[in-house]
Amino acid sequence: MLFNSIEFIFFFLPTVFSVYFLFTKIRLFEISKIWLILASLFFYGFWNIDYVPLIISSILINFYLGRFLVRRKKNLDKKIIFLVGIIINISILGFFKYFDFIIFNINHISGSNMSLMNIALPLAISFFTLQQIAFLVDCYEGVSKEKSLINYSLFVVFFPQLIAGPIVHHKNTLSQFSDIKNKRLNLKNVQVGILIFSIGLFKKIVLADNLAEIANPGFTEYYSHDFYSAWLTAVAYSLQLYFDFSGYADMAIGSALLFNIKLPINFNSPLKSTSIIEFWSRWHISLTNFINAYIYNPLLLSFKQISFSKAMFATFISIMIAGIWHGAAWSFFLYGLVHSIALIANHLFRKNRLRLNRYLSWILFFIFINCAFVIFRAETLTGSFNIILSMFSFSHLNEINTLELIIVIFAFLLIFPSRNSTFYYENGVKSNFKVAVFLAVIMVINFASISEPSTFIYFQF
Amino acid sequence: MIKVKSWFYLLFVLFFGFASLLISVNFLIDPYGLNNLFQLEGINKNKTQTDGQSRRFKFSLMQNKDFDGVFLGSSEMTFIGNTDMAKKISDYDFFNMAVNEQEIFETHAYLERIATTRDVKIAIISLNPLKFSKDSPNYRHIEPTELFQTNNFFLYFSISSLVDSLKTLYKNLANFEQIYNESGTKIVDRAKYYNIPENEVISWTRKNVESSPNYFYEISKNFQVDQAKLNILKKIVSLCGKKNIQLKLFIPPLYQKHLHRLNIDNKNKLASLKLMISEIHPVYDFMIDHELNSDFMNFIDQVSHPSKKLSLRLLNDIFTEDGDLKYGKLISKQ
Repeated sequence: MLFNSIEFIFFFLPTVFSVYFLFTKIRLFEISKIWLILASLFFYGFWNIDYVPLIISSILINFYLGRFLVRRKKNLDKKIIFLVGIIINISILGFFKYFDFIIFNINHISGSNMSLMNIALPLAISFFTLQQIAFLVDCYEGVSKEKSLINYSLFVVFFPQLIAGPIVHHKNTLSQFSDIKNKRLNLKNVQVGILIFSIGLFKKIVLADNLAEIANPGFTEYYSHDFYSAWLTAVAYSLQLYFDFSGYADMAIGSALLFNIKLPINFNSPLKSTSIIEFWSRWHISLTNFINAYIYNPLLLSFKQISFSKAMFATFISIMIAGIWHGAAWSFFLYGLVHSIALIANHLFRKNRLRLNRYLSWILFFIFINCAFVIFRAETLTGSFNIILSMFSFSHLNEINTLELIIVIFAFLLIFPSRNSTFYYENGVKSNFKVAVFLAVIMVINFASISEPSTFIYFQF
Repeated sequence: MIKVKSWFYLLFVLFFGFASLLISVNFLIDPYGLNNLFQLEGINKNKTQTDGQSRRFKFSLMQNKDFDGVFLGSSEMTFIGNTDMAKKISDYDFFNMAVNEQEIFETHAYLERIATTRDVKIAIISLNPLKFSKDSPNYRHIEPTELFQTNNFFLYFSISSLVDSLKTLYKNLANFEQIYNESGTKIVDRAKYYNIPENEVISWTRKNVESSPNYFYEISKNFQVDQAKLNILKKIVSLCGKKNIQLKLFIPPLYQKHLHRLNIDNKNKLASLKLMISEIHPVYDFMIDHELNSDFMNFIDQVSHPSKKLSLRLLNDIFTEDGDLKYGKLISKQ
């Protein structure tokens, strides 16, 4: 089910919300959690019911492995079980996500003709696998001691964050499900939740979907670009990706808040960054945090002595993994590679205390990020190279489509003076006339723009 | 500061207030001619006809028209299907229901709808061969099922309708030229439509028509006939047979240089597609090497949309009864 669909907004969410607080009102707390789990599984299965057994099995395996790890003291058994758990999770992810890609490349290199399995990627597998790996690591380290299968299941399947994050950490979420204070309907949270959800929906259906109408033909017809159309396509896509993904995160945060659950923020105006280091601290923050905590830090700490070059090596590996995590394609490999190189270059700049003017830094960052997103989006490497080359070729100019230009400029300008939606999350909302008018206008625009819902870009990961 | 509970009531009232305002504006301006209650000169009489909304606009226009012949097809047919010229040649009253990027399944859906709601005697369909490819991109905005819905509430409660209402208002206030006539034919006077001086029309056309050297190569690069689309064509033929509708199919012309830019490897595939179509139903082929197709002035733009002169020659061939074709070729099973 999609957050931007009529069935979610008008049927699923109100029903789950009402029944949940009905149960909590009569103090059936465990039942209310089971209700949320069942509703979340329905939400997941609505897309494709075939993968519901997969997510249930994954939850059961990881929970009981976690319990086993908690009970054991550090010894060889514990290490073996921990490694088995990690291997199981990575194997499932690898099988569904990378198996065909590996076979395809082996065929390509060796000339063999092994048949592809054409496996459909189960929805959300990248997200729930990462969350559960983190859980296993923390059980191994003795940080997590969760005993309730209901709480654990809810942590994994809770529908607002299930499909495309934010990647939640059990440490921050499990306690919220158990906290008795969160069982009462909180109108203030409902108010903020509706506002953030509405902003997210606006980002998705008004901004991202309209920007897609400009970006998509530009990528399909990658061969016919001039300087202007190449930039228009690239910027339209960068903005589309940002509004699509951050819109999803807002809707996730907003709908979780209706249930008094605070999810971590995932975006903090990343396109305002003035460097690639800053970008990674503002874009898909929950993934960056995961990579830092479970890949970068352990890798760095595995060295006997830490040096700049070792830190850069860890950065390189971590960002390459982040790139490949997005999918099985050479374009994601290249996306990770260019980001790794840019991050290392940025760190070298800082190390040598080289400073650029703030505006010049932003321009350089913006050029880089648009090129990187072209690599991320293009269906083939040839396509991405064609568009990027056209972005730096001034040879001939076709006619300018004024309406498309206005839409892109409007979306672009909207980013800079506007407050990030997380401002309301962190500071709350005043119950005044101005906010009511703002929200009513956004809601009317949203509801009057809903048609066939389009999927979110990050659903494919 | 208001209490949170009261604030929610206020939000509720404001929401319904703004929603009512939106519905009222769209109902009064009526950008697609859904109710035609208020038709004010200089305000909303000239309805929105932008390409993005041509499906909605033309469908709505068609509802109020009497006709016994219909033109269907993609953008080229919006030019070729000139209802005035067709009336003179054939004596049928046509409606042009061709729209940009019309897919074959849309052609079928529209024809099925037309055939069940009125007595149509003849259907002329332009078949763009590239639309039969598996990788043909799909830019459609409005699905036929969406178009055929009888409940207009969601058209009034719609932001895209509001955008079209504002465009309609602007167009009427600024006295813009019509793009389509009342029978759905696209009227394009190059000078007026593209806002170019009369003495620059020839050089402008040459530059425009010849400005896309790679486009036709790229769109034909991975050409693979999609059998499912041919099956829909069979359904169209069968529908016409059942409803007693005379069916004429043709493959539209392509500017010679564009035709030669089609991928060489795929020329054979194109030829075999033409044969496959002809096995389903006889088809007039204008996508050929011909002197008319080598004159850039016979085309309007970079995607080979035919001029009025070329469209007349094409229609003359289609309606000729003695079989003496002056421009195209008839391909049939026999």
